[in-house]
Amino acid sequence: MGIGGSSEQSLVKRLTQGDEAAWGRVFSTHRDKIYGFCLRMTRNREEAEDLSQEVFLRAVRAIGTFRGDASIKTWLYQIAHNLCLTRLAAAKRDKDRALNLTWIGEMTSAPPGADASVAGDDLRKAIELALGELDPVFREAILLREVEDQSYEEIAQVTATSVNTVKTRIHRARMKLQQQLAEFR
Amino acid sequence: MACEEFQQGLSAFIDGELTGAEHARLVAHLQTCRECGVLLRQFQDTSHLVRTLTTPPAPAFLTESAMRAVRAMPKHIVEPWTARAHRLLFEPFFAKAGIGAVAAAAVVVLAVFADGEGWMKHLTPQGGDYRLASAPAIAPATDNDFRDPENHGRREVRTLEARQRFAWEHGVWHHERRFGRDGWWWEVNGAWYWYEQGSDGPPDYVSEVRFADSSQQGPSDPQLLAPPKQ
Repeated sequence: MGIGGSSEQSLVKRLTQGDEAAWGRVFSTHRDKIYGFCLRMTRNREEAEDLSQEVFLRAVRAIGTFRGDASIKTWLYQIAHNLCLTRLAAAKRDKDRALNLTWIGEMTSAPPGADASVAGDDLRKAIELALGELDPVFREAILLREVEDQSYEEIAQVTATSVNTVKTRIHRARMKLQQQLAEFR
Repeated sequence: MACEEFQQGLSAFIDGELTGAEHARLVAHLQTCRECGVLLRQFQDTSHLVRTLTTPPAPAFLTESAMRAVRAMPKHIVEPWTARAHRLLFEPFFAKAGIGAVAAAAVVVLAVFADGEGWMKHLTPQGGDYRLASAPAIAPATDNDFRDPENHGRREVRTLEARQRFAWEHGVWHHERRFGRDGWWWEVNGAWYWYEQGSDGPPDYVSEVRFADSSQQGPSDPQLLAPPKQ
């Protein structure tokens, strides 16, 4: 959330007290990002909506256990990471989804007023497809880095791995992406 | 060092995640190695492409259920004993006081444990003034509507009205001694339901051992405290 330690502590205190304004601020700050992350991880709009709702609901229920070892943002992504990977593993539909292109329509329409320099629809579709073909743990690492702009340390916290593992996953993800997107360069 | 080892560091290089020494070594190598330079530019292009992705806005309803849960939250959450012990040991006052603080913290912790549930009283509103809402006894026969004959006659949560069920599902687990009884307590708006075992989510039946915290304004849904009627 881009706030300092004492501000974060103050926010957490208000959250544990059930302060609606504080929760509203957390929701409005992270809703789009968490939804986008879930959507790119599951590649299914309904599941992304379902998982995003569950992320925020679990955060409310579990705020009493939040110890401040990570930021609220990292904590929300930890919940999203656990839910998404659990859902993908349980459903074992990841491979099948690579063939289901309907989810891409959700991602490839540029929002009104989008920067003219952003990639065109064909290129966006190619990037989304290439991301979708990555193994979920590689996809997650590259999304957190490139789309969510998180540091390796933050990604390691979210995914409960080491910084070295994050470094390897991002490197491998980029290797595969650059091979698949070579024609667009 | 071989090119392959330098290439392993290219991603970290463009992400600004190399140490000063690693960065300097890689920069020196890039000045002499065309192959690694080409791969670096490809990585930078790929990174730029992925960063051009836009994230669609989330539907507004995504956080509605969470906000309802916030409104249903008890406004004073009882701090679990583990969290309290952690806070007592590591809060700045003790952390700054050195060895003396460790001894002081130990005394506090001992006092906390010796005091049983007494330490929790100041954490709850108005000193934890409890009243017995319902004796831990078998509920009256009129509750039969809520009992599942195939499940030991327990009142199943699925039989509650939607509004009651919502409040129930937004309760909070506490694992502690309360009202003189050890175990797991499911707290719903100031009403406390005892269970021998906790679970990952809300209990799927309504415990017959239940108490009310009279210091609360009163349960927002009193029917949850009294056996619900259909």
